[in-house]
Amino acid sequence: MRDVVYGLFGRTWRNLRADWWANVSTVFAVGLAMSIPLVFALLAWNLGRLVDSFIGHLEVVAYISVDAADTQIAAAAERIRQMPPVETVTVVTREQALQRFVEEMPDAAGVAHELGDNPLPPSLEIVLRPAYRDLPPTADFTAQIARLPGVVEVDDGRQWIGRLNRVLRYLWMITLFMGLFLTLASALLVGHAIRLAIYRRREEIGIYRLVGATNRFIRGPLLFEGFVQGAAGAAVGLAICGALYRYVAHRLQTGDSLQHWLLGGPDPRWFPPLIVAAAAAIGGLLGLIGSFASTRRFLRI
Amino acid sequence: MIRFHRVTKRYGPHTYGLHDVTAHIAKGEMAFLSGPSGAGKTTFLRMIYAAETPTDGQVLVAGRNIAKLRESSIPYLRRNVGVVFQDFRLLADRSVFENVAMALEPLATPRERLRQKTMAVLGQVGMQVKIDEKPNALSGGEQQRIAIARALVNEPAIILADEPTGNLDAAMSQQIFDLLRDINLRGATVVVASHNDDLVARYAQRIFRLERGRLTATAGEGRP
Repeated sequence: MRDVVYGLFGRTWRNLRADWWANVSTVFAVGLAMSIPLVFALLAWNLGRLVDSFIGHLEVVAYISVDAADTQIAAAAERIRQMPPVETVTVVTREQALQRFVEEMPDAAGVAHELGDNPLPPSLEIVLRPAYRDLPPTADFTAQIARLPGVVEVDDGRQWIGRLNRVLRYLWMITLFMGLFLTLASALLVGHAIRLAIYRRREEIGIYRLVGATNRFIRGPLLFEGFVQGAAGAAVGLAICGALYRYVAHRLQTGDSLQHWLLGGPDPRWFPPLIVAAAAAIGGLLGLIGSFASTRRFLRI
Repeated sequence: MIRFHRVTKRYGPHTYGLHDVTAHIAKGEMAFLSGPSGAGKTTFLRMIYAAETPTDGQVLVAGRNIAKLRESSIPYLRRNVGVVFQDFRLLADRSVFENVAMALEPLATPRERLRQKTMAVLGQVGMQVKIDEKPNALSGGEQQRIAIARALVNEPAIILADEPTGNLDAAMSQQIFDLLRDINLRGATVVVASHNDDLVARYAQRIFRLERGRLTATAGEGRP
């Protein structure tokens, strides 16, 4: 058994070395094809994490009339607290709103002072119970709040979540379709490379047949070669995707970046090791399928 | 060892490779197939190693009916049949040693045993000193010796040679025929297709004369 395995590895290595340029080209072509769905998958996964983080901090904000009395604000807050989806209600006074504005946007602080009178209304920041956070907002809930005395506008953050979730769904669908097409293309690439290898090695294969090699003996290295090409292609795809990820992550961590604009969302993350291993395994499997199809079709024993 | 019984091979309605050929080659015999080009010599040999099957009749090799052989069994038959061709069929990018050793690879021969057997057979054909050479660096006669070594290294019971001296001069041809006779004397059944009638007459124990696919004459007595 050991000699069979050594023989298989030895012949595969010899073949890979002999056709190294063709093999390297195939690996890079597969890598490029696989990098596209990988990039989309990474993007969709990180966007999903961002949406989850938004859901964690989700608030419904009820803006109160600037003329409302403190008692009216407190009554509205108390009514809202009684509603089933509501976990907490925080009253933000006009002064607190102005202070936050100045803290969060120091460049615009001068404008606020020039206005003299505080133009910002008081508001109620409503945190929903977790079970209600990723549900689509109901007109009933916002309407109930809007009808409360003193409330002039209700901003339900779940509308944004719904939109982001829709974008996310589309992104995953695109990833899935592209993944299917490009993995199929990868399998075809490997299959084609194996077909060429069969053609290039027809003399050798003919001699092996003549000296009593079985189908398994002749196919073995070609199948293994396809597996290696697919797995190496996946590794190249992951490397391309990884390089892009590092570039984007670096940009997000420095200076005036998208990250800050995205309300302090989570840092972008690279795929977990299990996904990386799965991507390499899928690449290997695709290579195996491609080479299997080619040997079935073009290797007549 | 090899028995043809009323064997016909048809390639088209009026194109015959072999036509109603009956022949028997006993174990340990050295037989020659003679005849002009297109006589059916190569078809005869190809049937012995199951590269062709008869349209009619039976080909029995070591008691096995070629036509009824399952595809998966063909490699096992071929391990008992060494084949040598006019054009040597050596791989140009491999050394002499590797060209010969490749016949042992399908048998999963352990590395040390593979080396021993390859060196032994290269010694037998007088090529032990050229193990690292590439075939293109060798003369035609030397290349044919390597091809014979590759056919021999599995120690097959049958050696087939299809015009083995077709590309060689007279002196080289004689050396190759001597080598084939030595192989036969060591116990292998040897079947040689050749249109070199002088050499055939000098070495043959039995001669099958083929013309247009028909066996027109059989000469000599087979070794029992």
